[in-house]
Amino acid sequence: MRVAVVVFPGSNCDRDMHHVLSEFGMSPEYRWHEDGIPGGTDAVVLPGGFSYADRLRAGAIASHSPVMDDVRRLADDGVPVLGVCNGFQILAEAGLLPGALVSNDEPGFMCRWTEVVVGSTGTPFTSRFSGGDVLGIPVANGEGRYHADERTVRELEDAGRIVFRYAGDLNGSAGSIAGVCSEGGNVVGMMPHPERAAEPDVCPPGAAPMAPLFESLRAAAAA
Amino acid sequence: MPEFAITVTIRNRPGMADPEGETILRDLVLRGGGSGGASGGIPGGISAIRTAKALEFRVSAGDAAAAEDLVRRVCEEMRIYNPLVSEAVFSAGSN
Repeated sequence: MRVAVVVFPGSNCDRDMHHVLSEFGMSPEYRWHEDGIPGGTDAVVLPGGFSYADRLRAGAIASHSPVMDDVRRLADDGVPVLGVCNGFQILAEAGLLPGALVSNDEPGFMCRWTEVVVGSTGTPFTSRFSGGDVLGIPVANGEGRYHADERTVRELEDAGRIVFRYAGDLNGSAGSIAGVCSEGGNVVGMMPHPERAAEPDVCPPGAAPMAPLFESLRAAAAA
Repeated sequence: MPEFAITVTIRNRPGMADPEGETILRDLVLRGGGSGGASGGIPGGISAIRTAKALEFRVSAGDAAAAEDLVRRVCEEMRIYNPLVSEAVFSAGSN
């Protein structure tokens, strides 16, 4: 399975993502944001970081990068697309996912482990989870508070498009939303970092809570 | 053609929380600058602070209205502000 890991100026979780995708038996390839995504790519990941140093606002400038035309086309074709942290901010800014990510209700950078509750398992990234699972995962962001108006949040709930929620009120996010998906389910954005919670060596003893996310993606390719 | 400075002030839409403004108000201004601070005690009458980002565009145009129109169009097309959460106020001044 060929997975494009898009690298923007300021991406800093691209290597972690590449490492984990490899560990789970996939074939990741870095793609510079000014280059296209080649045919035969089975999935796309927009990793975390600080594209363009978060200037203007997180994800705003990268959402206009040349690579985003290909990301949009692949998303429309049903190819799995995952945005993590800054990647989620970029997907939201590009209009590929609903809502916006704004400053946390406690100003400043929040970097800690938290817990999420699994919502939709109907995406290529969550099929190996069970709905309602409560899982540990780290967050690391300054602009991670999910915002959408009440009607949009309700529509997302009704359509089963909330992929992860925080187990409590972490940062003021509407509906405690940590991750959402597109109407087709193939585009997923999440603020917490699954690539930092997929191997026991970097997790609390005995755990690799986000391993199923990568197992899901691998299974989606085989399907 | 004359040059104009068009200032775009981007701030949260009404109803959007502004945690930075709230912190400046609660933890600095309403504390009166700390004990023995130059401001000498807690100032009265201040009820809210809203933060914003300001961008100044320098634009050559026939007149100020044309310069402002151009900046407004650029800001909308390039999503310089996200209308979902922010509003922009445009003001022109010549230099």
